[in-house]
Amino acid sequence: MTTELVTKSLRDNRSSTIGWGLALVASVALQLAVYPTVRAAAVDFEQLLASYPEAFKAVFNVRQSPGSGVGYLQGEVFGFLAPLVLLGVTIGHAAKATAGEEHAHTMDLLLANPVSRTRLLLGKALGALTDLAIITVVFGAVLVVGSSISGLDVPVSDLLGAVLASAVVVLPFGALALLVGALSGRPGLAVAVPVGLALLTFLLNALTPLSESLKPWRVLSPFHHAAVNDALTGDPNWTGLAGLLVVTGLLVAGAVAAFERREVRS
Amino acid sequence: MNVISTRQLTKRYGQTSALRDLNLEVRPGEVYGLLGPNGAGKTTTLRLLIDVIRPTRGSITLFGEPMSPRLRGRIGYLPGDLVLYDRLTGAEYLRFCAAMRGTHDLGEATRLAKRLDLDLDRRAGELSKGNRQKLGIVQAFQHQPGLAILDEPASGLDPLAQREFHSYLREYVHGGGTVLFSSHVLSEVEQVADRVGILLAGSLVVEDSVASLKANALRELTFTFAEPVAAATFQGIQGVRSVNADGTTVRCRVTGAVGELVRTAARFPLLNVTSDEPDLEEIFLHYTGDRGHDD
Repeated sequence: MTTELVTKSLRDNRSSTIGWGLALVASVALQLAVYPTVRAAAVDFEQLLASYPEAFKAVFNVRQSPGSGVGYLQGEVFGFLAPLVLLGVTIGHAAKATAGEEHAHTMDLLLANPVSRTRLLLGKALGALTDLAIITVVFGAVLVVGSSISGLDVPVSDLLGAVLASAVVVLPFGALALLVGALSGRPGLAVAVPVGLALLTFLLNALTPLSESLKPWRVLSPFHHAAVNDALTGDPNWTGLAGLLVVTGLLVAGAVAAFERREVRS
Repeated sequence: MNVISTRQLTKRYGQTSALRDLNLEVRPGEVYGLLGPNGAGKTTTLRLLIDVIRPTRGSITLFGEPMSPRLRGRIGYLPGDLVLYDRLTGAEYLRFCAAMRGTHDLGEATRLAKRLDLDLDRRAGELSKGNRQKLGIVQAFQHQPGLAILDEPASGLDPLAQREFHSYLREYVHGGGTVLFSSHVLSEVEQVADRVGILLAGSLVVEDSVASLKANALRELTFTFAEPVAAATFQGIQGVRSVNADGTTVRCRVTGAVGELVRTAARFPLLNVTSDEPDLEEIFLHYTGDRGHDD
């Protein structure tokens, strides 16, 4: 039964997964393809970037010279592109898990099956998680192969560590989408709340280096705990990542409890 | 042990009562028709039974047990607001439903689909309302449940499909199944239900056989005589509520047995007599405000 739910979820989201996946693969491949040109003109780029406002560089994760492999990946891949796609696919699919069925008025028939609500929600969540896993694996593969071809000179283990951290950081937002969907039955709200929170905490983490007053709040940002930049330099924050998994588990437990009590709209 | 048993089942939405103190008993092997106008609480009752909404108060047992995932394996359900997965073909959808019930057996589904003349190779999104309804019916019975809970099952079916569905229902019940269905069409209830409950504004106002309900309902008998007959002739006869004489035509509104009324009419040169079948609305009215005047 759970297999059926996961398969159904994968089938329902197939075109979305392919769309997000292709967008990520094409963008990453393009960025890696132009890296040799950027490296050749690294001095010019550094001069150009020096003139950019600090806030811009913070938001787009421009920390090291774009001529170095790590600096290039931080700015062009992990800074904005990867979080955007991974958040998009995870929040989008998790929001549809139960709220999508309820919104489409197909939940009554689904709940008439001999399957508990907990199992139904977890089956659907597993579907969304599988989509994230597929995109993460493809992302990692393209990154490893592309980096090697373009001569980025970043160890494979560091690349994979950063990919893993990028995937883990979106999990709490996906779980929040599940929770809001289970509480409200409204897929739009289940997308809006985690997207808003992701944007807020992303900016909080990115802008903290520029503002002392933001520092105490940085702990609230999952992006801070995921520490993708550190993972890319071979120093992943395992404790932070484990903490994100715990938060995800708590949010999923909340979603299960909410869905068990949910009055399904007709 | 009854297949369905509810005690004081009540559902409120804020200040509005959708269902009040429903005590419903559906016996094994019977077809129970839940009748009522829109908004009477029929769908609320069925959705409470299937556990997609929860009661404000009261209890439900099915086959003597409270609802559980395991118990749902013994129940077939057809929602009133039937929405299927548009992108799946009928066969794909039924395979999904079977798998959700832990089986790959499509034998009964295929037989019933053939009987209802339903093409399982077409996507649900391409089907007409009637054919979507047929697919909904097939999924409700494909696992041969012990109890079928059906919300307006004949809605959208053409007369031929309706007849086939009703005949299937009878076979299903003869085979040991039990049915609770809702309808606002009296003729449907009349054809298939053993017992009927009428819900009005969230309350079960009467529970009876269809024949008995109709017999007690307000009907109009129209007598045509060869010569004018005075209205007063029929006033005061048992069951007669009102008389309207217009020349040689006399219209009497009557409840219950009509023997005495017909015998009285027969004493005059009677040319013709017609009886309007009571429609559901009149039966509803009989059990609501008008009941006070009529009884």
